[in-house]
Amino acid sequence: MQRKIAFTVNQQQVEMVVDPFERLIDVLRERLDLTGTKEGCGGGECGACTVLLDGESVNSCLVLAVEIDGKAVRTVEGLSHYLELDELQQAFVNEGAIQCGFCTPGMLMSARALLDKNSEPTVADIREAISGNLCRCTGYERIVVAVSKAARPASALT
Amino acid sequence: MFNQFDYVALPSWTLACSFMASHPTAMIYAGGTDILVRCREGRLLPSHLVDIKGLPGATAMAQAEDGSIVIGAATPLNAIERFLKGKAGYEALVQAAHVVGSWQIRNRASLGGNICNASPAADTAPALLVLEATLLLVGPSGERILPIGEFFLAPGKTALLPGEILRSIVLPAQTQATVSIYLKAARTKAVDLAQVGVALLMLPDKNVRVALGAVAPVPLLAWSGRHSAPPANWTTEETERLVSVVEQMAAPITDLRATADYRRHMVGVLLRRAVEQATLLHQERGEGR
Repeated sequence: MQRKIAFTVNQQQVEMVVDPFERLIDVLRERLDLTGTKEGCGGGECGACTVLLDGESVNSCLVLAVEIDGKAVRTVEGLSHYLELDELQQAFVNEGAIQCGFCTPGMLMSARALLDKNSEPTVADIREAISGNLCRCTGYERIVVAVSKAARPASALT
Repeated sequence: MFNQFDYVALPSWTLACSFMASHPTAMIYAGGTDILVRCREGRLLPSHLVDIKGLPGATAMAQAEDGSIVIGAATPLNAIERFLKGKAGYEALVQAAHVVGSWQIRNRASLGGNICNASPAADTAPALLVLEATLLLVGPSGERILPIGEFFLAPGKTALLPGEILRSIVLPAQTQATVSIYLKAARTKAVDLAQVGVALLMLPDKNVRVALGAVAPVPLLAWSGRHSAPPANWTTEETERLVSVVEQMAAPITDLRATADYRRHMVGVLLRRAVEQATLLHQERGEGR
């Protein structure tokens, strides 16, 4: 049975009718044109589809659209303010933490979830927070450095 | 894409049970991290997913006056880890909850789901076995309590009757002097199932419990009994005696994650490490008092 759901995406109120078997990632990409969120494996292993649901990172390929009724979703599009990048995005650019870029939106959202709860993460905390996000290009080092620098911009961590 | 199941969220446990009893192809839905993957692969074709997350107490945790802890079946693993962290005796469950999947998975995956899947490799199962958890099951004819040791019947098969739902997991009170450890061998640090899981619990009265995952058709309580010395004074001989008893209980198979021989070997390796860590933890606590 189709259901009407109401939720916020990047602080914008949205209402729509969804099928019970529709996934959050499909709602974001196909219905709302928020194609920043990527689908990699579709099975919760790669983390490319990571978004924040009420502030917690989740794989949007493993959440049903009906479940987000009344909840707040934040996607990579919600990080920047118009053309001004979020400090985390800027750190990824500065550190060259991106190659093909497919994992980047998911990496950013996992890192955002970490920094929202822990403003001074250790390298171990960062590795742990992105352990559900696969990157086949960068070797992760620059990503870890970027997250560290976003957390402590003044730090000399290299 | 999934098959065209319907999604059901009911207001009470009783209604959820009646629904399950009258819809044999419906499935209970909590975190969805396993069920949706299997639906997508076409390995499961449920007619309905019955979401229990909104049911009373389903995602709640509380410690009673007697020290026992009740965890709602749909509570996500990350929330459980945060709740139990620092509570003496429950370390094994904290560690087991921490090594399931990835951070994102643990924000959704529930303790109830981890055990109701009845995977022989479920990380939380050995921890719950050494903690002697009990399960509150609710069914069309009322509630019943089942020790976790009687819950797993075969791979993917539990003691749940038609229409019955796991409502909560109850952890008995532990003393300050109890220590437990869960160690997992896997091919990667995250997002992989256990090749072997070993849980160890040491009580101050010399009682020791060891449970194993991924080395038998079901998670297994491999040893429960008194030992000749309290945890702080274990000798290598005592550890080896325990290892040889526990190793004999393992009946592993070879699959894509490990060979049977490797698994059997790792039981001993992990158990020795667990004894070491438990002893250390015990000493630290003793010095801290």
